[in-house]
Amino acid sequence: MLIKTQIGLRSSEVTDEAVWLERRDSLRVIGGILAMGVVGHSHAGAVDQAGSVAGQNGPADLSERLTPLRDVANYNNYYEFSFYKTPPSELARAMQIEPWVLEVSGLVENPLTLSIDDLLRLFPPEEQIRRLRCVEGWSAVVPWLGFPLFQLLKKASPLSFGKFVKFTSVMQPETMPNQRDQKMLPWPYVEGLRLDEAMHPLAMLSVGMYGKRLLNQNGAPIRLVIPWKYGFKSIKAIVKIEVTDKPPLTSWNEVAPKDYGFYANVNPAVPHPRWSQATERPLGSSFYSPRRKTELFNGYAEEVTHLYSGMDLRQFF
Amino acid sequence: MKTLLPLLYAYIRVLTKQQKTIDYAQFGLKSPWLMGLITTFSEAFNLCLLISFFPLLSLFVLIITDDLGSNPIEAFHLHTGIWTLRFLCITLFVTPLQVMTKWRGMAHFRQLFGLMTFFYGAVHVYGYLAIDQAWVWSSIFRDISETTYIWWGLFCFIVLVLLALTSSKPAKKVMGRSWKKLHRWIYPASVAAVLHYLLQLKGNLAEPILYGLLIVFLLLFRVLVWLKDRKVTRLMIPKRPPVEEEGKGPAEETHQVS
Repeated sequence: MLIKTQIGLRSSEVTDEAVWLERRDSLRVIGGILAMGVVGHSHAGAVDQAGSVAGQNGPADLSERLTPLRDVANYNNYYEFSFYKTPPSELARAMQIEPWVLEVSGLVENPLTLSIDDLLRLFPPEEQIRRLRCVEGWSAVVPWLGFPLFQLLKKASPLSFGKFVKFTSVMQPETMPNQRDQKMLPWPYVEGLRLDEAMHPLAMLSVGMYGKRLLNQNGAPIRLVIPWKYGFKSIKAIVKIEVTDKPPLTSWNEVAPKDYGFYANVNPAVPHPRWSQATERPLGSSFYSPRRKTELFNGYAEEVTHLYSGMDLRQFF
Repeated sequence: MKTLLPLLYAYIRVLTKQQKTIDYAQFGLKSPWLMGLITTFSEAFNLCLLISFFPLLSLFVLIITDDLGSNPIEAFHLHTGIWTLRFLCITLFVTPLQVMTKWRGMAHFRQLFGLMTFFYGAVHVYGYLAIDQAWVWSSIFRDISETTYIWWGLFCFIVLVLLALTSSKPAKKVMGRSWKKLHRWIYPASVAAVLHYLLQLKGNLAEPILYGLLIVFLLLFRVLVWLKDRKVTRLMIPKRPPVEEEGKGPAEETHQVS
């Protein structure tokens, strides 16, 4: 039900209703709506194929643990809308995501201004099943649809003295109550990565999940997915990506620097000042399932540890 | 409906002690079982006891109907934790209510709500140990050692256990003056309960702040009474104040505040 309202058909690809309805329940919808036709298999197929996509991270195990869409769609930290988990799924319906312009600028040779259609044409999305770990101690396994961030950055080609990437989320006070009331965080929401982190193949820009377009509450139309970092790094509804020479001041880091570091790498050995990060509770888990042990870099240690060699992860949390 | 409203009216009159019993025959009620039930819960105390189990019932309903949301165990913790805090506030409200209304003999209500506070606290702790952590002690010890907000909750629960163990009338008699001293630990425990709630959140602090204010008001009442008490005794001891001294009347009453 939720999904129906979110798959808005764009004017550029008028599809007749019968075709749309037929597509709606299958993964083919990506092929149609994203106008790319890259991922034209059934969901089960996507899971099998994840072997090649998720690579070293025990893909079979991951696909078995997929979080139900119901839970990912109704349990959201989207502070622009609400400080509670369930209201964003309702409130985010009001959000305006069309037209949308993503600006890539800053220290780059070719600044870009792209619509979502442009992005989909340039970077055909693929399914990637990734773990998500929130700093609050819950986790999920989500089949994202997206493309590696480095593809976009390469197209803009960062200048040699560009060292960081700053991401800015949308400012839409007319639909976002907490932006309108200027509550809690300095709006718009800002996140950042080191340039080499941003160029890592696991860093992804996502435009869809579970074979469909992103739901508004999950960061539509385009969001970041950094699976080895706490969820707040994976900024939603991005409007601007800038390459900078200084580390950007990120929102949570600005408000509570002792609680939320710039790196925010998932690390069970480094507790939050007020709670343990040793274990996590998977979303949608029943009363009888145990907590999971949290893994270093959220299980992506093999791929990303080299980014932090020689760094004290307790100091750079 | 025609019988229900007058019955409800009669019921409220009994509860507020304006009427002794209800003439059930008047309402066409003949079942002795139902009459017994109604008579039992015409007692305000029994009614409070019954109502106190509603939050537990609603929790069971939420569990059975799988309606606790995407993170059911977190929802369980929140439900039981908030009801512990609410019963704590109700317990702390009994004494001010008694002083303000000059109703006598509400100690057993205070005991009832205090025990319900302990009960929901115990369900809360059981949920953490058994459901969330599945009795894996290594995980529990690590979690508690690294999670500072649990320390406040733990402190509060230890106090609740001690107070529940010593809540009976015989215990009160045996302990004498130290009973009151022990039971004053509910004041720091209530502050700890609010901190336990407050410190686990990232920024949505409205609710713990609301409960915090409520607790502050309830504790402030005790401070005011204590100050007034002290002022009165100071007036009384050095120079034997005249009989028309205004603080004298309530002084005796407020002396029993705990």
